[in-house]
Amino acid sequence: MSAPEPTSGKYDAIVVGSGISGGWAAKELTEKGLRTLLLEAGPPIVPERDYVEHVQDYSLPYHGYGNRRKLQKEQPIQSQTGGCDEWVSKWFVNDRENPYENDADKPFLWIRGRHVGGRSLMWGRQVYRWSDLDFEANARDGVGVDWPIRYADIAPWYSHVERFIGVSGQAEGLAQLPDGEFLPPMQLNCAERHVRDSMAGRWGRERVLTIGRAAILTQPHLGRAACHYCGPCWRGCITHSYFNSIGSTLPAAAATGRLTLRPNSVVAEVLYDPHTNRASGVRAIDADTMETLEFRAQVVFLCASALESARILLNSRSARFPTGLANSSGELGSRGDHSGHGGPQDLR
Amino acid sequence: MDRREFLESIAGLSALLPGLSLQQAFAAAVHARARGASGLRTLSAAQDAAVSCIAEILLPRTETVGAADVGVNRFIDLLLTESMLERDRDRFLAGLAAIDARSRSLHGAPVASARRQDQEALIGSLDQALPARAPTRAERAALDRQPVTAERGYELLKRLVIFAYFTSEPVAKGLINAPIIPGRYDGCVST
Repeated sequence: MSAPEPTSGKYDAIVVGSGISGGWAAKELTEKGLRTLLLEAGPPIVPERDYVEHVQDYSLPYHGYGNRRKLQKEQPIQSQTGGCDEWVSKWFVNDRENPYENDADKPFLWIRGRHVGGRSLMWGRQVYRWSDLDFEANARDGVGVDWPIRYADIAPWYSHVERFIGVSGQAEGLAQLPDGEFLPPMQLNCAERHVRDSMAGRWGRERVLTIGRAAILTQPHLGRAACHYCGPCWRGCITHSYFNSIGSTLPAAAATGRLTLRPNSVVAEVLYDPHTNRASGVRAIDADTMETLEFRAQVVFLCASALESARILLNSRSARFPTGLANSSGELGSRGDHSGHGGPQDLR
Repeated sequence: MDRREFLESIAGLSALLPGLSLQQAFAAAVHARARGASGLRTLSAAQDAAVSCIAEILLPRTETVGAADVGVNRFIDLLLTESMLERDRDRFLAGLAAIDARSRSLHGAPVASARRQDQEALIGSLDQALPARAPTRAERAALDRQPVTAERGYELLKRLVIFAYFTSEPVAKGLINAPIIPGRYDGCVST
């Protein structure tokens, strides 16, 4: 190991991962006055260079059909998800370079984006509040442990997020689908209006058709432009009209002057200080130089996706935590990510 | 290629590209010969004739460009050569063979050299047999285990022909001409 970079006292907080949660952590921490180091495993994204939402079919070698031979060879898992197309398969990892195993009876797709912005570039943008029907469902069914929170606890935080990211939708007053802080809804098309009205005539408010609630702006919002309806959001948005961290949380964090973003920095483990019994920083590898780096801070946020964050903790072994940090229960890594085909994943 | 042809092709290439090694020149000459005059790399002359014939029946040149005008056959050949999964390519080519076999049994000639009314009758009947919707993933997997019929071969071909035509630059720019940046969305303009 080379001499660690002397970072003691330089940063108050370290955030690992620059996707949806990492971007939010960086924004909140910097706005509260903490000097924050944001470590991202992948390379930077330059919207003017990398976003391709306006590139037309005929400008691509295969007109959008994709190089299926190459996808099958290099991205057989990633290409099973929507969006891993001829335009932006570059934003999904190479499965041969990022292999994983699963039990034969528990298959799952681990869809990963390793670049600044993470999967916030390619996410589905549909955002729905949970209601107490969801928070209480397992307790009512007698499954697992009752959630320690209810809708009333989290509703203000839904609002906090929605007011910043911008969510278009139609308020409906439904108990099962609480309304949010909506921008004007997108329009239903003719057929959708017909179905909505027919359903209303038959069932009233018992069954309601409403427009999708999407983190896409229908009017200018906090310096970002309204949607221009070009269509393929998942290929990037040069006007920052849908929410991703590159267009909203990261600029907000940078505006505080307290953000240091370091791409190509692969975090290997969280460092543990036995004297304070606290996490004291992280060890990372520079993806370009393969140099080992150590960064120190009082606060460490792992926002590397549920599976990757769990993996980092499992890798963080010490005399005090021989099976990985925060794994004295042995349960670390047993629960889920937003992976394909649904359901909780077991990383142990 | 005989020895004389080979030497001539080497001489020609070497003269054009002075930096080319003998080995490279040989490889280039073989490659160029394999492509033949048509420039196609996977479709044989007979297969190309079937693709081009059916494509032009589906999308003839009228007051607008036809399938041949936008090079539908060349684009399909590109997909077959470079990007389509090998098993899909093989099934596509087997489909062409099945269509030609059907044409031979009905009309005594492969589709491209059948009489015009026989071509149209065959394509019309295959078109009538198309399923109402694209197969689901499971249905497709089941279909892929069956031998390729003329009906299935036509379905694969028609889908590619339409894709090739409507994603071509002349059609996208000259016919569809949809705005890349509409700037607004009118969900239901008729009400």
